[in-house]
Amino acid sequence: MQSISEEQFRAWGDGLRRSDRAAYASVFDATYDALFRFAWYITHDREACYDILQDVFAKLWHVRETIDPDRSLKALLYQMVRNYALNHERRKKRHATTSLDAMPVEPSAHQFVEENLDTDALNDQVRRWIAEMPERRRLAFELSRFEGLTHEEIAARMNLAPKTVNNHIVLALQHLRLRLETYRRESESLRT
Amino acid sequence: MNERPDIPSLPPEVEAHFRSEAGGDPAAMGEVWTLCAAARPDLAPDPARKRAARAALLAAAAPAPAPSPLAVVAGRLRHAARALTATPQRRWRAAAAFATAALVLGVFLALRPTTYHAPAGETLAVHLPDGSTVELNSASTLRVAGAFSWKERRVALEGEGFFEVTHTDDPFVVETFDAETRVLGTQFNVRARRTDPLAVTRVAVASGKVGVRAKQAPGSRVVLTAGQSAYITASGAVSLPDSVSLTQALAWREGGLAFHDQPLGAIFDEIERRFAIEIVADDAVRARPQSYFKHAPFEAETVLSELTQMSGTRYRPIASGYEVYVP
Repeated sequence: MQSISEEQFRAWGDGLRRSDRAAYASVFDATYDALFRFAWYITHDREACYDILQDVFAKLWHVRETIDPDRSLKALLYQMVRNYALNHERRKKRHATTSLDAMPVEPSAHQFVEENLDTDALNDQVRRWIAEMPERRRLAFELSRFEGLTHEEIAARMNLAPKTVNNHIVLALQHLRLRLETYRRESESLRT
Repeated sequence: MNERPDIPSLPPEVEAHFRSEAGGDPAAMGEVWTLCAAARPDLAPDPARKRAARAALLAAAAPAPAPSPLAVVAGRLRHAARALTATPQRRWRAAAAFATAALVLGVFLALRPTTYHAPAGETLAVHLPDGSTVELNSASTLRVAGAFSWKERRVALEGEGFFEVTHTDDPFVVETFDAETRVLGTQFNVRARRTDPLAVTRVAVASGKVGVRAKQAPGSRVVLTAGQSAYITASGAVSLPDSVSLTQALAWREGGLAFHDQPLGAIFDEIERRFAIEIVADDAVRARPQSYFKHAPFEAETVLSELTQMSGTRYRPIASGYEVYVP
């Protein structure tokens, strides 16, 4: 979505305000995948992402006449995905407090020992270490690491100051390094 | 746009941080960064589901321009289309979940109000069961009664929110500490922050008609139309309608700041809520009148640097945020 110019988004915004369905379809085609990934980084739940995007695009059409021409349509889309995804997270927390899926995975020493010989297992571990971070820190890190977004872009998506984004990523890396060191020590002690 | 090239090295700001930090180890951090490449998730949506989603949305996007009764029909169509695109398994699961929810939560939640809270530093979009939405500003709370849509739709607000109310036959009431705002279907902003220098409820209307009633003087009420605002006066009555700049009243929704001749303290309070930081200043500084406008996004420090320059004050960082003082 980085490659799409603000002028293009502005043109689509004009189209939407005129109830132009072709513009609506173009926005969908051009942004769906990127917004889907963004929703996933917030929720870590593919099924939820389909619902969230459906709600966002339905709402976009619903409010098309009141879209502010002075405001970036791209920013509006990200804001909507963020709001719907956070609402989804909140609902999930409220209704599934007893669900086992919602329990944090605490990696035990046994897991390290059993899995340490396998690279796939290490990748699984890294995924788990990322998943166990506080939500906003994880989101900032994932957008930087996996989406290649700059600090400014992440700041705009998350409604944060770029400095805060940097802090989140620094803390995330320190966390991952600590986990990796522990992991390697455990593997080492097994071998000797 | 689906190309996501792997970023082989630390972002420059992160690298700089570890370089300048005592005991920081940019090389080790670079290794952690590289290691994460393999943990990158595959996030391409399923093409079939994406196609179905697109078809349903376009079918619901009725070609009629006015979102009158047709928009309601479009909404129905959208839901129907969504139900059809769901797999039988999902439908069964949804039905089972619904039955359980109806039994357990129906009784339980009907008696309990739901509270939505936007903490400092964040805003929150709340979707109410009648299709209305509320955008909550930072450090604001919305309470929705368990029996929300029984006879009238009633919510309680502490802080600030922008309401888009779906039109039904039941009135929609926003209760704040000193006022009641009553509407049928419209867009309007309610601000009721007890921490404001003039701590009263203010209502600004973007479209439609809104009735505002003072709690202390129930006979005192005004009707506002688009572009008008009113507030609760010192005597507890509702002020006369006054024209309002909607761009200013609603600047917070875009993440911007808009203050026309307000005490500095009010601007500081807003920055504190937006960024979840503390701004320390004595009463003399906080009382200075100031106008200030800023488009998002910005950092707290940028705002402070500009504000202090305009008001002839200085600022310095402290552990919890900033201190503003007279040199």
